[in-house]
Amino acid sequence: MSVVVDGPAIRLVGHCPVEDAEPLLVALQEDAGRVVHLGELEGAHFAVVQILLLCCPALEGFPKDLFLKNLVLPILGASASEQINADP
Amino acid sequence: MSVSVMIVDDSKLARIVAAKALGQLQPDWQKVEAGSAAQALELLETEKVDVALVDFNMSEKNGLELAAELRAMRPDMPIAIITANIQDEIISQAREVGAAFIAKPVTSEALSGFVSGAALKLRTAKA
Amino acid sequence: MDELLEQFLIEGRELVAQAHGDLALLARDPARSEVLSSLFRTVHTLKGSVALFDMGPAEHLLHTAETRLERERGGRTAMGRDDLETLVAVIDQLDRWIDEMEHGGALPADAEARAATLAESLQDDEGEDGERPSETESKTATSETADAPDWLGAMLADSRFRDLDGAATAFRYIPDSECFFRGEDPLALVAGVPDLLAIDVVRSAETPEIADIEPFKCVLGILGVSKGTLKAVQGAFRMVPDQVSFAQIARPSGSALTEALAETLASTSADRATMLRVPADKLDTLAAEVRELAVAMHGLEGVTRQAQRVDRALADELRRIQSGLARAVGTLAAMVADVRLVPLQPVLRRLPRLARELASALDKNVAFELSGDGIEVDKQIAEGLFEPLLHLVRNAIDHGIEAPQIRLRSGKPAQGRVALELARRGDRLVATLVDDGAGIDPATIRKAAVAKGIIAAETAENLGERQVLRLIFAPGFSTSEVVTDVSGRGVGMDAVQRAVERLQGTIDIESEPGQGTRLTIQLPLNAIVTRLLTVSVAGERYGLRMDQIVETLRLDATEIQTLGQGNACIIRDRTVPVVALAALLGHDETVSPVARLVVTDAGGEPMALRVDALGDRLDAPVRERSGLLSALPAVGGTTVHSDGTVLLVLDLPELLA
Repeated sequence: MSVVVDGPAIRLVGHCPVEDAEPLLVALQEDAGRVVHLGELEGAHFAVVQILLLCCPALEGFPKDLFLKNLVLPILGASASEQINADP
Repeated sequence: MSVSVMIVDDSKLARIVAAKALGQLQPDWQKVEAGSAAQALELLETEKVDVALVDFNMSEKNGLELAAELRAMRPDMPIAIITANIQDEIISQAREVGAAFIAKPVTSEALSGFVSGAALKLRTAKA
Repeated sequence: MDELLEQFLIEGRELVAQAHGDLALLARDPARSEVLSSLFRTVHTLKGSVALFDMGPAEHLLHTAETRLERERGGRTAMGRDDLETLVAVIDQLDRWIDEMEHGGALPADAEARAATLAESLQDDEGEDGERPSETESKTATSETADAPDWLGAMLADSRFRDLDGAATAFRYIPDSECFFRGEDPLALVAGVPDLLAIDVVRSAETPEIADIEPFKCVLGILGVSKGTLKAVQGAFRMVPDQVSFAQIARPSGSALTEALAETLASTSADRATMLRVPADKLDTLAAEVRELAVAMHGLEGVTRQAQRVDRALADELRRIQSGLARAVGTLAAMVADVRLVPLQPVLRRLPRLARELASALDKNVAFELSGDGIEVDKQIAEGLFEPLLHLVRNAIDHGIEAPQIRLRSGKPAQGRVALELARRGDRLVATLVDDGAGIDPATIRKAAVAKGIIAAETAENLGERQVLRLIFAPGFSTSEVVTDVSGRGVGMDAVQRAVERLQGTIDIESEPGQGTRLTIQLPLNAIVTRLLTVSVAGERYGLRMDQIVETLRLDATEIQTLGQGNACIIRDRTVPVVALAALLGHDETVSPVARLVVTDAGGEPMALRVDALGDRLDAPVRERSGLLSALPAVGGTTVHSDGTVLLVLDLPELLA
């Protein structure tokens, strides 16, 4: 499973296929305060990215994939960075 | 419970290639083969078919016509058109009947998007 | 580099040139079956060659082209202009890919999309009833994009998309909510867009509350901006044509062109002279050694003359040996020169493609004709010629050829013509670039040059039209404001002139306002030996290159009059400024009742250089300045005079600049 839920943290690992949208959503629905860690992310289906865009969780780390890091992360970042800063 | 995929192609070799690629992705899925559009329609009467992989280039009735008929009978069935001939005209027709488009020769890579989408569809339909 | 690839780079480019040649012939006469057969074979061979490498998209594309040509050979379809243009685009693409293979060893990431797009236009031409679907399609595509769609303005106003360097094409992709089930990944498609600069998402449906989100329902769309062309970006979305709209982003043509130009110039240096099957540097060394040998021979000639005074018998013996050696050296030099001769074709092969690219970037309709590129010239000349010619072609398309509607209004055909003709005249190569564009108005140039302080107002009045036109080669003329004021001919013209002069060539310009412009570049076919005139100044002898000298004359010193701050004399009813070469070189001027003048136009306009004495003329190998001498700006090189002394060869354009 490439969505690893670990208490208050969710780690996205490797390539996250379309199916991962569901466990990711469930994890965020359970606890919207969970921080999503992107440091091990190598690729993501749009369905997964869409969940991040719709739920706006706090994010941490940079994806390994350059497309995700340089082009997708800036879209996610705008709302996410505020939340990261707001976190004590 | 198991998913059944119908592979329609008038070339035996092409059916083997498609079945192999599919087997790599979903080893548990059942495969039924049809050598023509007519055979495919017959199969649909007797067998359980959840997903269809249809070759575009067949002699009697082409894959798009068959896909359109399948769509009429089974509005929610995941259907993919397989072809080596990637032309915009064919792409747009395939989209009109709500079929995915897979380039020939079929590899598990080329098939994976369609297969995972189909799996989702079948799962959500059951749920 | 691996040997197989190296061979491919050579043969691949030869085949590209061959294909372009055949296509040019077919453009003139589409019915020539032997040309068609040749093209077919060339494309087939190319296909076989690319198959040896990891160039799948290229192979696929060539296969499509081959199939298209096969149908043509069977006489089943008629090949129209569109077909030929598509084939030209296919070969151009292949040419670029060969460059990529050389530089990166692999095709670029967008190769597949590009191949698919091109192959598609080839296949689209199959339309049986003569209707070309590609044409109608592309028409709707452009009419869609011609008036910028509503979404584009709002999108580009967003800070995410503002001020992106090189932004060319925008897209708006709204997938349907069911797309995930068909196996589509909109993000993967977007990742496949070539040269993507930035993306953003838009909500295509109302944003659901977190509890109501359906994980597999697509509710977002993606906006993006790419540096790629409309066609390239469209190629990435071939599978979802119904869900994407596109728009071309207008951008200042200047920056785009500069970029294209810089890119081209940067890549040119890398593939120069690869057509030589002998490592080019070895050949350069060989030529340099022969040059040294010839220089030493020249010294021997002087020694022989000195020996004459001392010992006749010894002098005779020396002369016998010397003439034998001279013959051998002459033959050797000629052979080396011959080996160094390369056809211009591989060097110039990019020009038609670049001309097409520039024309389309500028929305101009231009037919570019290239002829005579089969001529062989010295490698050095061939290499040095591309850059100035590209500048000139670029200028002709950018500033010479008017926009189609303006042309029509002034009674010209919408399609402009830019023709580059290369011809051999004696031992000179003559490159003539003619355009039928707007031409240059001497009055505007005159005004601009005076305004720029390049020339005094009264001098400007005295200049004939030809001299006025030459002002565009003056350094400092080509600033951007002048460029926009006059018809823009200024861009880099002084650089062009310098490049031509480095090759010991000359450049000439003629223009008829409203009718067009003709530029003529003359270059030696063979650059190893230079014809020099020796002059004496302040007790020193210098060499001047004959090709920079218009004439030499003697005048009574009284005929030189003071004019403004300088001196001038009248030569054939024309006022020519007179400058003492001694003064230019920092020596004291000597005064004599007879003025010996060398008239040169190396500085852009005729100028008379006063010297103390005119010496002999000689053909001598000139060594490029090196070492200590390179610090002297006016010295173009050195040679050894027949008396054994070293002669400094002056670089007049630099001295007069």
